[in-house]
Amino acid sequence: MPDFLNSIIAEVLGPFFLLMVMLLITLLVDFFLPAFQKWTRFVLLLLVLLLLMEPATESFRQIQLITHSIASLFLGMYPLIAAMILASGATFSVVNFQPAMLLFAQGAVVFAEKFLLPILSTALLLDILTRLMPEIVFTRMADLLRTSLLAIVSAMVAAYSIFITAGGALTWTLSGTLNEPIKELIRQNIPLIGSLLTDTLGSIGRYSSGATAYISIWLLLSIWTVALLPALKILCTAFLFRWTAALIEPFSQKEVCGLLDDIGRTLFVLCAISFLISFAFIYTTIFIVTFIKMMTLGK
Amino acid sequence: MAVIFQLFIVYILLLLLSFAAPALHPILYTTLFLLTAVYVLFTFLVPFATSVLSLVEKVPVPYTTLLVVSAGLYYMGELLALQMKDEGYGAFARLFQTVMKIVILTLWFPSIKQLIETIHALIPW
Repeated sequence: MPDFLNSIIAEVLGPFFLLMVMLLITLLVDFFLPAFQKWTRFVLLLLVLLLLMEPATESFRQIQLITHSIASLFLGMYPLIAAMILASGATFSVVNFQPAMLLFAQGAVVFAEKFLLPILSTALLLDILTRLMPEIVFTRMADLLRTSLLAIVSAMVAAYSIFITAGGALTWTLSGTLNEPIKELIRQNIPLIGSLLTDTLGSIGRYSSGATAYISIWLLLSIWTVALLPALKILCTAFLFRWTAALIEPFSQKEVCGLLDDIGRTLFVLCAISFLISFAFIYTTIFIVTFIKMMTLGK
Repeated sequence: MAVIFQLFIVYILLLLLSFAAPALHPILYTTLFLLTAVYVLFTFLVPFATSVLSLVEKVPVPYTTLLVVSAGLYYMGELLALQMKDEGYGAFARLFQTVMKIVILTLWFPSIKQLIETIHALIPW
């Protein structure tokens, strides 16, 4: 078990430590060969991209894979669910689910796959281009893309909350006073997406706490874990980027820590998108579990 | 420490030679420069570079070696080009510098290729 943990930590932290060692060596080289500075700047950017693009693109690939599989799952499942709803008749009215909400959740996933993720990777590429060629600046464009993506995602989360409160059957049962400090903590400490995160978590919690009447808490917990694990992993990676940028700022070139900061910011937005997807996943899973339970109980 | 004195003595010798035999000065300068450069290179720069590399020998990626080797190549190229410029062959020196740049870039080509592949994987189309 410790070996396993060690390998995970090495895999995640290794590139960042390597980058610091490389920064040290480049500082040494710069000291001996001031004329070589143009080269070291280029080489350092190359190294940052080589070492750290791998975790970032890995996160992108993971989210792309998950969105793609959830979207295709939905396409395969939809006729089946429609048939089930038709067959169940009276049972369905007990659950008080809205088919439109399911459509909305899955539509959000398809939207994320076809529209949000490509835009986000465009923002990342624009950032990299800006740092590689400081004469041609795309910073504002990348920022614009990121902020508009965040706006779209928050609008979707707001729409979710409206759907859920309109559903009526699902109510927030956990005590609000207990959650307030945690919410405040998240909101204050996670840059860019903190308030979005608490909103999303609140919506999911409101929704799934309504479902506890039908399914056991352990199943609910496992669904939550499965759905939120990728998002949490991306959040940790994004924080690692920000921390490394903060750590190397005093002794590295401006471009290097700026690039790290930009990648971190992009990963935060990716995390927000992945929350959207996890929410769709949680919604669909709980819907199906509850539905099957009701069907089998009803017969 | 001794090398500093040796270098200075070579410098004074060259100054003397430029008085004694002005016609022979370019060839003597070049020869002495090459001899001294090779001597300093192998007694100082190469051991220093190896000890710097041994600091980071546990690092599993080849980038440190690449960086130090390319810095050394750059330094050598600049040094020789400067010598050529001293003799008045500026164009030749420029040619030499360009070739050295291409050699250094060639060392980095596999890494650049890898980077392009990583970025390409990000683009979904």
